[in-house]
Amino acid sequence: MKKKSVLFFALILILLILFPATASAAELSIDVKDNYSTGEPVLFMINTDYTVDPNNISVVIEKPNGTTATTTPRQQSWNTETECFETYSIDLSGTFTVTAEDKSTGALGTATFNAGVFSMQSTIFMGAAVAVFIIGLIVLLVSKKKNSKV
Amino acid sequence: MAKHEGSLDPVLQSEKTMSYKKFTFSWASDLIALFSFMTGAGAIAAGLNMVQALLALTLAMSINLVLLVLNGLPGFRIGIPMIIQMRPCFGDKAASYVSTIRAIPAILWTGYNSFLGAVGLNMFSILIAGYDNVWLWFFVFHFGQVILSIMGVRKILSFTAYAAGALFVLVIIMAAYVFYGFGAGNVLATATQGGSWGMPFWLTVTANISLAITVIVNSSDYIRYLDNSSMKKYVASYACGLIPTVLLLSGLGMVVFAMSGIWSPIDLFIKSVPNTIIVMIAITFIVLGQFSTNMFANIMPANIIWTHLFKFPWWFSTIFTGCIALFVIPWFLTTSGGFYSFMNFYGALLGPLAGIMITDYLVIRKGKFNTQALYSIGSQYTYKNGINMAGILALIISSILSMIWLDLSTLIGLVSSSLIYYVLYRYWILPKYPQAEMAEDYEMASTDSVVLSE
Repeated sequence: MKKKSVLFFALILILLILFPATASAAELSIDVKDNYSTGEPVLFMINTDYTVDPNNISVVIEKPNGTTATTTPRQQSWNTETECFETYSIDLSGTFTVTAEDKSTGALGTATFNAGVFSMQSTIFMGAAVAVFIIGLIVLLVSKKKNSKV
Repeated sequence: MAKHEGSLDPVLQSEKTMSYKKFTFSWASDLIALFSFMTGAGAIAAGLNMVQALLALTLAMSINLVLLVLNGLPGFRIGIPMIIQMRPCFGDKAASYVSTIRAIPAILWTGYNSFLGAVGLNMFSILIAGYDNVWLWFFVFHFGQVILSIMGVRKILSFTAYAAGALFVLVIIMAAYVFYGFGAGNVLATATQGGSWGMPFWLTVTANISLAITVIVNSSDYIRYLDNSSMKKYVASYACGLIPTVLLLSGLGMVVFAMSGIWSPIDLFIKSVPNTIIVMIAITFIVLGQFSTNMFANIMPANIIWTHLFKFPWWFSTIFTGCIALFVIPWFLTTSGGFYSFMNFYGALLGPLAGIMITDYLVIRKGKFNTQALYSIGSQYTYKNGINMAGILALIISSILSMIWLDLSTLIGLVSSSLIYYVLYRYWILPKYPQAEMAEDYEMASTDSVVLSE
């Protein structure tokens, strides 16, 4: 009974030690949309739950062809103290993986996004252009018909 | 004489009222855009140092100035547009079809500039409201231009002339920031480091002629509304609009790229300027610059071609240009070297076009046209079935030669087409189809006296 109580309290003690350590682990996340069109510039927002120094952060962009690009993000007056950003112009189609690591805290964040020549938004845009063209064509034909009657 | 937008009718002497000052500003405004930065950055990226890059650009701009002035002379003197100017070179029927070559880069650049403008607007909305949607801004920007362009050529020229004032103020603020930010001493210290006087130098010169070859080909379209009372002022207004503007903006692009490795002003300002207001000023410049450039150098020339070829009214030509400009997938073009290959590709078509037009007007016809024949069906410019085979063959042969050496396409096209056209026209076409204006005592009539037959 006594031995069991010692083990129980030892377990409690271990949990108490571990829990605050887990709770205080620095967190970092990358905010990025899921889909882009190839050529579209991407704005990565890197958010943390602590005051961040962007110089400590390394951003690695793994491209669909397996090559990588490494950059350091920036922080400007329009960012809060817990965020920084990086921009990147998509130069390939496929799935990109972005990893940001804060060397000072060990915090790590990953995000992925897809790039294709056509995205939902670009397709809608082109559809809208076709609609504008068709409306214009109808107006043109109607006005020509009216003019020919006159 | 009924006048409508996009009309090929000559601009009468009484209608040539655009002042030299307004034209200079309008022209400068066309050049204040992202591509001017990019040419500067591109020269450094090609391996030149800042001094060499500046010299290469000065040489390219001087050549561009000469070509613009020479090819714009018919528009300046007698108020005719590009398509009419092409009739003696290619035949009255073929000229209409050949002119569509000019529309290809116009459409491409329309979409490309719109997308870059939309990227700027999107950054603006992120900074102000945290709203990120480049497609919405692309739509707003692109169709905003289309709506403004529907108002017509003179309105476009006026808008761009007024925009130039605001643009110059913004450029000076940006230049001051760049030199202050990087330190004038540091900039000067790196100005002569490294570099090459070899192939990179000449490739930079050619690339910058390729960039301007589009507006060189239809120089007459811009200049035909200009008051033609002074040749000196004509040259000066092109020179003052072109050389200081390009050198200032390209110089900025060079400094920025050499010091930071960033080619895009949007990236530069968003990444390195802590002051949001200055970032917004820079973005305003970028957006306004793209807007005025597109209207002046891209939408307007393409519209004139559609108006003539398909008999579209001006407003529908504008919608047509706007819509097909999206189908070149401009966002994809920003990604790769494909864009530069395309620039060299259209240089291989437009370089020969400019060479033929300049040789025909200045070397063969000694600066004279039979003005009535330009506007008559079945005239001396009809040749056989409306086609001048000397022009067509010179265009095809020199375009093929240019494509073999694509990196130097525009220069090769300009020179080879001039030589081929001269030989073919002088010794093959001219003996069969005598040209009235080549008689020694020929007096060129004013286009005011022309009777239009179409």
